[in-house]
Amino acid sequence: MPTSDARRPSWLRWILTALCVLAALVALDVALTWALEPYGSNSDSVWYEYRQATAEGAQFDTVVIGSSVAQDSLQPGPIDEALGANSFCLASPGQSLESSYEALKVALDEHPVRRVILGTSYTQLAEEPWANSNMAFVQALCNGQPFGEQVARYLRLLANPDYVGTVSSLSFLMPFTLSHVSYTPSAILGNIHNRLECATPLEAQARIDGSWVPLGNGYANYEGQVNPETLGANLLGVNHLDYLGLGGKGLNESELRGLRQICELCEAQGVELVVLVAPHPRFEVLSIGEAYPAGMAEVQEYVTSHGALYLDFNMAHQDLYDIWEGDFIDATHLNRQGAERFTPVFVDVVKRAESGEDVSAQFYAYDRYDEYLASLDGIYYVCFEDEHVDGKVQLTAIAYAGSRCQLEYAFEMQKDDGNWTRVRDWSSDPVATLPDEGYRFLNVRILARQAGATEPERSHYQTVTLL
Amino acid sequence: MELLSLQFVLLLVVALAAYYTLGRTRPQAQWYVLLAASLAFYVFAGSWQTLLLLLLTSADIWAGARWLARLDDEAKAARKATKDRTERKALKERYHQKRWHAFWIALVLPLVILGFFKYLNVLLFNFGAADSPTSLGILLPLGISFYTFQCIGYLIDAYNAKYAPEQSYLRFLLFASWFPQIIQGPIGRYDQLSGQLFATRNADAHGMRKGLLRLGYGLFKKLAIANVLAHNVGMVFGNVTPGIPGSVVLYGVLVYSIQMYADFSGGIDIVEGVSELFGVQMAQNFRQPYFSVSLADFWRRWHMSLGSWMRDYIFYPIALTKPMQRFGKWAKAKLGTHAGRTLPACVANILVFLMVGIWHGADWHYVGWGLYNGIIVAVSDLLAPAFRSLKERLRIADDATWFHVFAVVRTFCVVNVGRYFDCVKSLSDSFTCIHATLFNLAPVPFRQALALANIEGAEMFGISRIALVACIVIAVVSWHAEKGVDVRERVLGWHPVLRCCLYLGMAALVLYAFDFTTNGGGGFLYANF
Repeated sequence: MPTSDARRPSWLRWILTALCVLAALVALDVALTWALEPYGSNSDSVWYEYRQATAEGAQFDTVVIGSSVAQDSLQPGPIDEALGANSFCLASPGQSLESSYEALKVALDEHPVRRVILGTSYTQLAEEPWANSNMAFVQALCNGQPFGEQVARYLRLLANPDYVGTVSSLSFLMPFTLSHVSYTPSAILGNIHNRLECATPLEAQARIDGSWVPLGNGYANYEGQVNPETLGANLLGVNHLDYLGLGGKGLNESELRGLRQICELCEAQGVELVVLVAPHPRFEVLSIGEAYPAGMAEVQEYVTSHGALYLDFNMAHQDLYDIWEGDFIDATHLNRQGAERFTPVFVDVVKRAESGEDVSAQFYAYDRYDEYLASLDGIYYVCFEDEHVDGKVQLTAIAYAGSRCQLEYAFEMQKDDGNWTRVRDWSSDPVATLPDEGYRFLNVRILARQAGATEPERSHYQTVTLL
Repeated sequence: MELLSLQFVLLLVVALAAYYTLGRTRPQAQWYVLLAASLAFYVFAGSWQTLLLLLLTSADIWAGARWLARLDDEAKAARKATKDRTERKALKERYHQKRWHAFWIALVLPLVILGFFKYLNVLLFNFGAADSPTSLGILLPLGISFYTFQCIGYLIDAYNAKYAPEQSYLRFLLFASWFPQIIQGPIGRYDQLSGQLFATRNADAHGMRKGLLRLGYGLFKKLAIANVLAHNVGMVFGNVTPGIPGSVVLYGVLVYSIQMYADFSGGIDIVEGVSELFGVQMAQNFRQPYFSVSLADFWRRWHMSLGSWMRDYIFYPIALTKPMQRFGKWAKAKLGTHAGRTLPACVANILVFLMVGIWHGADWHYVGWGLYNGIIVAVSDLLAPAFRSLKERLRIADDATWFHVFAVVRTFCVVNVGRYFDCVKSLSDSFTCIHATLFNLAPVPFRQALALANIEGAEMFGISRIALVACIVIAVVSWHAEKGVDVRERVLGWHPVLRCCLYLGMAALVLYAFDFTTNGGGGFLYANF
């Protein structure tokens, strides 16, 4: 094979050309990220507040870490008053437990932290960490930090085994590909205006998210209320885990790794760790099924073996804390009113536990999950699955209810005039078949009640595609 | 490690730097860099276990070829030593037998490995011995079909004494594991590739620019078209019901056709571009397939390296067997000269396409796909005189533009009928889709049908604007390439400002479409074969 010497440029020229191209690409990347990445993310706001408070000399002895369930479940007032603490919430949406560990390390380095509250959930522990949340976290954490530290944090993110060799590793170099405003001139200009006009990320976030209620010191809740009728079967399906694509996978290894790191760090530093499994709507926990007690028992065993206090408020006896559906903004997060009701209960339990009281009796144990199920006396959710069987559409009811409830279902379909027609009357049989109506959309409604009742307790409708 | 990852970019940069640095200091050691990069890529993209399979297959084939060469040498020496014609004939026969045995002994292991990983579970399932086609949990090692076929081709060439087998195992290992080609081909030939892999060379700026342009063009196809369309294809064929409207199926097939081309040829452009950065030109795998004028022509333009592999190592050996020759003679006597000449080729074509179908996957719908293509190609060959005569009667000139366009459109339709067997999950789904297209084309308005099938952009008739613009770019490039224009040379000859505008425009489309890649991942359709 001939060697091509004809147009061989010098090494210096090669290197200079490469550097010029690289510099142009970096400049373009920075410009696109500045214009397209939404200014005023939740992580940005939290870390901006934290840096400000630290710079002003505030000293925090209690920090809250974790994902959105931690941030949305708690309010600062009761924590600071009842526990005599000066707390800061470093939790932010989508924060993986490995990111929480990073946040904790920063807080431990800069503040005399003696208590850590880690808010988590089964969903978080089972799900793959989100690349865009991790990116947002690192960006927020790096803001205003020395260049060397920024480089080190970005390199750590790039070396994260969850993303090595995947397309996410490229996305980290172009953050706007992970999170961007809509690609319309008005959205892009709006974002640029926010960057130019808003003095702080907090101001920008308040401008773009009307339901966000900042409470100071990193805490924030959301206004709003869940409507179970509109959640849809897509959210729950046969099993919430299937919806998340987690069925049968168990808990996520990198989240468990993060949990271990947090436990070990707290233990090594002699810091009290409270692991809070934040309350979720009953139907979400029930939809996870037996995987819930199995997975969470593992977590409980691990964290308590490291001296942590473990509190799963989904398993709380109703006289301690009853879960109300109106307290949620969606299928996972407490709203402001929910956080207001929940935080004092949580703080009281922590206080009693810290004073040496055994609070475990107020929670159902995972190995006696049937007792928990038996304690529930309502229907928390009903939906149905549709499938094509032998040329007809077959509907199968899925209900989440207490184990002692005896359920009956009825199915209705919406005719062209908007009225509902009963296609299957009340029966304990969860399966019904729809009449053949040709290929079309059809709204189908399921009603559920407990045996003996005359009125439906729950209903849900969704669109079904007929054959 | 996916091709679309930072780690692959880093591996590439390090390998290029090492390769061209050695080119200036110790050029004879350059190929070691290629080997190290190939093995590193295979381990990072797969695992140590899959690397062991690659090492085992390549070692077996390399040793088999060496054994064949040694038998050749022994045979030559033995025949030289004797002057007796009968004894020489007996020697020839004996060594022929020995070579035949050596060939099959070497061939068994790779075939067993391929069969175990690719077909065992499905076969057991079909015979009721497994719960599902994947119940045994056997994962297909990365690129196994590609490197196995490449190695087998080498062994057959060695058996046919086409060239002297490679003396060094490490050099052969580089041929088998050359990292740009190992995931999705093209299936290389030793005589075409080895010279380039082991050549010494310095960086050639123009060649590298051409390579980068090709790489970028591949990324453009993959990210701005294939990944954008993947969701809608999945929606149509992920849940085929008896009542599915034919309009939705037709839409799905057409979109699948575009997605498949953009994904596969885009992936090939990426790896060809990567290979060109090292100065290695791999086998061409696509030549504007949608400009084909017949199905046979299509298969000479689509996945060309597999087509030529099948032609050389399956088609000819079958068509030239004694029973086939006898069959040809019989057909010539009974049915005429044309039938006598083409019938053996028809049988061989059907068998070849059947094998290609099974190569795609151990599923009955792939068998249907292979048979469909084989039968169409065979029948076209058989009826060629009738078509010629019809053209003469209708006074259609061979160079008539309208007829050429007609032939291109006709071929596109014929190819897409074959897609009915390809894009589905089962053979019964194929028949359901065909039935829907023929007898249930539009039970509801098209847009409503798309909405029912959860097609993104149903209100826009399921057409993604990004993909549409990108397709127009691809069509223009393909049109020029079909006219014989070296598009890359032409683009590189443009004024830098114009070139910069083109690059920025294409990059903008890619970035605009990047969400689809972030959400759907960066894998390639043909990486699972």
